[in-house]
Amino acid sequence: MTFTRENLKHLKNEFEEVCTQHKFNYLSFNEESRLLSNCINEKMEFAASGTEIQMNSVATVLLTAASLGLSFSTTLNHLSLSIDTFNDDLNLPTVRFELHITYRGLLHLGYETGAILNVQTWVVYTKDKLQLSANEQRPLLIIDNIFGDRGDVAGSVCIVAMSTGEYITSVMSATELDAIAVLSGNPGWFGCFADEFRKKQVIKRALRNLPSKLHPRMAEASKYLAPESDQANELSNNATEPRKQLNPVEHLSHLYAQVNQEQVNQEQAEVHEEQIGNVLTTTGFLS
Amino acid sequence: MTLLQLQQHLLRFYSSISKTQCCQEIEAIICILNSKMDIEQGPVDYLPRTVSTIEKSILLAHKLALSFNPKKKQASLDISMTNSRDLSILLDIRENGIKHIFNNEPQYDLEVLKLAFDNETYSVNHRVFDNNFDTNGLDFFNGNVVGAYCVLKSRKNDNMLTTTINIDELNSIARFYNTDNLTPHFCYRQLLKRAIKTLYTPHDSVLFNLKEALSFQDALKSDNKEFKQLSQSELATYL
Repeated sequence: MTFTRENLKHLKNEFEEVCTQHKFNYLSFNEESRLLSNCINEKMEFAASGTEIQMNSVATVLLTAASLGLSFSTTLNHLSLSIDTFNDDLNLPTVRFELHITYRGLLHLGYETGAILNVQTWVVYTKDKLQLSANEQRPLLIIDNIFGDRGDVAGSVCIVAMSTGEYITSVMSATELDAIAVLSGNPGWFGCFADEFRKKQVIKRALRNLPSKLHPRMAEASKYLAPESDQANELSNNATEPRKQLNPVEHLSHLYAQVNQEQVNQEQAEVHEEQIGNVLTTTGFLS
Repeated sequence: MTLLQLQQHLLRFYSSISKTQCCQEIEAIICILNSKMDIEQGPVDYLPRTVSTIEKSILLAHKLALSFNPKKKQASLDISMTNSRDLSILLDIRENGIKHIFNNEPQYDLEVLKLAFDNETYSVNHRVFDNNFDTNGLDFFNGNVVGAYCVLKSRKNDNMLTTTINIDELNSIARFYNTDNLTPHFCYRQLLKRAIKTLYTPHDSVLFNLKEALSFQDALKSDNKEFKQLSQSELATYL
C-alpha cells in the first residue's frame, strides 16, 4: 500500500504547516520521511511477508512527531515506533505504527523549552551515604571509593536542576528496580551495564513526574512516552491493570476528547483542536 | 580508485565544504592513510564505500572544526575491515580534539577527562552538581586502569556533571566492537558517549556533531551490514 502523489503532497503541506506554526524550522519533510522510512523498514523486517501497512498510521506518526518538534534521527534517539498487527476488513494481515517518545526525547524537550538545566543520576550502594534534605535542595552524596567495593545496590537517584533554581530529586529503591528488571525481560539488566539501566529508569520516573507542571509541550509529549516508562510508572503506583494499547485513531479521538474536557486554557485548546483536526483531515477521518 | 585519484577526489570534496587549509588537510589525510595502509593493508584499491567513509569522516571533522594535522593531535583516521573485506576509514578524535571541541562548546566546559587507576581512591563527599571527585593518590600512571571519569561544567549555572565508566563496562564494550586493545582514546570515546547522552544536543550543535562522530566509528565497527540508502522510489512506497 502506498500514498498517492496527491496524498503525499497533502501530507507534505500538512507537515510544513505544523512546522511553520510551531517554528520548528530544523525539521524537513524529506529528511524526516527518509528517517521514518528507515525506522519502518527495520520494523518490517520482522513482519510476515505480504503484510500490508496502514498508511494512515504512518501519516499520523509523522505529523505527531512534527507537532512535538522531534526528529526520527537515530543519532538523537528521541522517538521510537511500535508495531501493532491486525487483520483488516479483507482479512489481510496489516500493521499500524504507534509513536513513542523516549526518555531522551522528553529530556530534550525539557532542555529545549528551558524548563530543565541539568540532570544528574547516581546508583547508590549500601556503603554509600545519600542525604536527602528538604525539597528542592541538592542531596548530599558520600562515596568512599567510587571504583572500589561499594556493597550491594540500594537504589538510584535522579536530581533535576530546574531553570527556576530549584532541584527536584527522584529516588527508586533496589526492590523497585529489581521488579522492573524482571518485568522487562531484558538481559541487559543483569549484565555489567545494569547501573545504566538503573539510572535510565530513575530518569524516566523523574521526567514522567515533571511534565505536567513545566510546559504544555512536555505535557503533550508525555502522552507518547515509551511503553517501558508505563511499566515503571505502573509498578511505582502498584497498578495491576495491563497497559491499554490504543490505536492511532482511538488515540487521536482520545486526545481530542481530552482537550475538549480539560479546557485548561482556551487558546491552547484551540491550537490542539487545530492540530488534531489537521491530522484527522490528513488521515481521512475528517472531511 | 588509486591513492592519487583518491587525493584528487578528496581535494574536490574538501574544497566543496571548506575553502580554508584545504590542501594541508588533504595532505595530512593522505599521509595518515599511507602510513596506516603500509603497516596494516599494503597498497589498496579504494572502493566507493571506503571513499564514502573517508568523506563522512572529513565532514564530521570539519563540523567539529578538527584538523588532521598530526602536529595538532586533534583528529586522525582509523581503519576497520568489514565482513565483506571492505575497508572503512573512520574518524578518530584524539584527546586534544576533545578539548578543542569543548572549547567551542557554548553550554559545557570539560573540566576533567581522566582514566582511573587502582592505586588511587576516588571519593565523593559533596552535594550533587558540585565538583564530585576528590582524588587521593599519585599523579602518575603506575596502577591498573579501573575505569575512567569526566566532569563537565555547565556554563549556565556552574553545575558539575560527573560521569563514570568502570573497567568491566569498558571491556564489555571492547569485546562488542572487536577492539583488541583498550586504548585511552577508546575509553574516552565510550565515556563521552555516556556523558553526552543526557545533555541538550540540539540539531547541528557542537554536541550533536560530537555525538554523531563518536557513534560513527563504533556503529561501523559493530554493524557490518550495508547501510540502506533508500531511493526516491522506495521512499514513495511508504510516504
